[in-house]
Amino acid sequence: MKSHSAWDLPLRLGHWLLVAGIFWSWGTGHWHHLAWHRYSGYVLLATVLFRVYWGFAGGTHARFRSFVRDPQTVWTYVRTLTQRSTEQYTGHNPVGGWNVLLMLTLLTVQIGLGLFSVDVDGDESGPLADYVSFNTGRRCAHLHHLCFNLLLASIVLHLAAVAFYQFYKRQNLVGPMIASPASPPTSWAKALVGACAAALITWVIASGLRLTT
Amino acid sequence: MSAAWAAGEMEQTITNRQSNLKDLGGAFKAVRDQLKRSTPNIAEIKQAAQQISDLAADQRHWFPKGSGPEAGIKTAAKPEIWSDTTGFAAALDRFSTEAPKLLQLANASDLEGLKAQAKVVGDTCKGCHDKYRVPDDT
Repeated sequence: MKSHSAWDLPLRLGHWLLVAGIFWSWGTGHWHHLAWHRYSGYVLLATVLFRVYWGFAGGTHARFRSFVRDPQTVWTYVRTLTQRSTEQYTGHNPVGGWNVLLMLTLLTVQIGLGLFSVDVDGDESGPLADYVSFNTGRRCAHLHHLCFNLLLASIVLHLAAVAFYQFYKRQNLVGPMIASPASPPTSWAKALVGACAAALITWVIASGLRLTT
Repeated sequence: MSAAWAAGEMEQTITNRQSNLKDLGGAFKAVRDQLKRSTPNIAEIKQAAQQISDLAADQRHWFPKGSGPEAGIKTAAKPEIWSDTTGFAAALDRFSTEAPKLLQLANASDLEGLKAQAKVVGDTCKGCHDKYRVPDDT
């Protein structure tokens, strides 16, 4: 199976960090453990920053250019979707690629809203909430809740697609993400630079963009 | 006539209550925002703490009988406020006792004390909201 090496190590690590982070964020948000919720958001922020960087600097299948395809290609692929005999795609398929972009966009919006959110007591807030009023912070918190449901919907689509490929098309997409050996990144140096930059930007945002005062 | 008048008055009561509670949230956020900084602005904390203290002292007038869900106006106030009057009064007492301490600490420019007290005051908000307020989505 050629898809085994499609996902390099940073991409896989990032993927499972997102899964764990989103799950942890949901729980801590739901039960109002907002200090933990903030930390969880920072992990997600750094991971998303790295993923976007990797979309330009990573290996072939990590790059946006390789998996965000034109509508014509998407439509052609949609028409073959119910055929069981189609060849397995290496990397994201034309429809999945767009859902990846959608999930990443919603997650970015979600994190952005969280940075400015304020809880009902004015007690807990995101690291950038002191740049906005209480009412704006509350509005962000409400939109943060709404956006989470949209994000969940896009994740359900993603999981439904994986199940569809597994059970209808008999193509195992989960295995390559877990069991088979991950290929190393095309460049360890690039991966390291991206990870450090993502961590640094996250740290600056988490400290409220207040490095001096 | 008089029922309609009473309903209008209740609506006003609930609107005022919501506006007061939003002011409280805003003032508390102002305190928290300053305490997050490495060099908090004490003048701003004093001003917000004064507002919190004043509103806390006034709070027991915000929940007259009939201003709950039965008023038919959108409110997150739970009926327990009026069925468990002792518990609710105790919750309000906790807040009106703890809130003025913020102002005292601000006047004394005691930042460490303020940080600790902000947590205590935040817990009184949360304690009351958990019991007597319909949970928000967020």
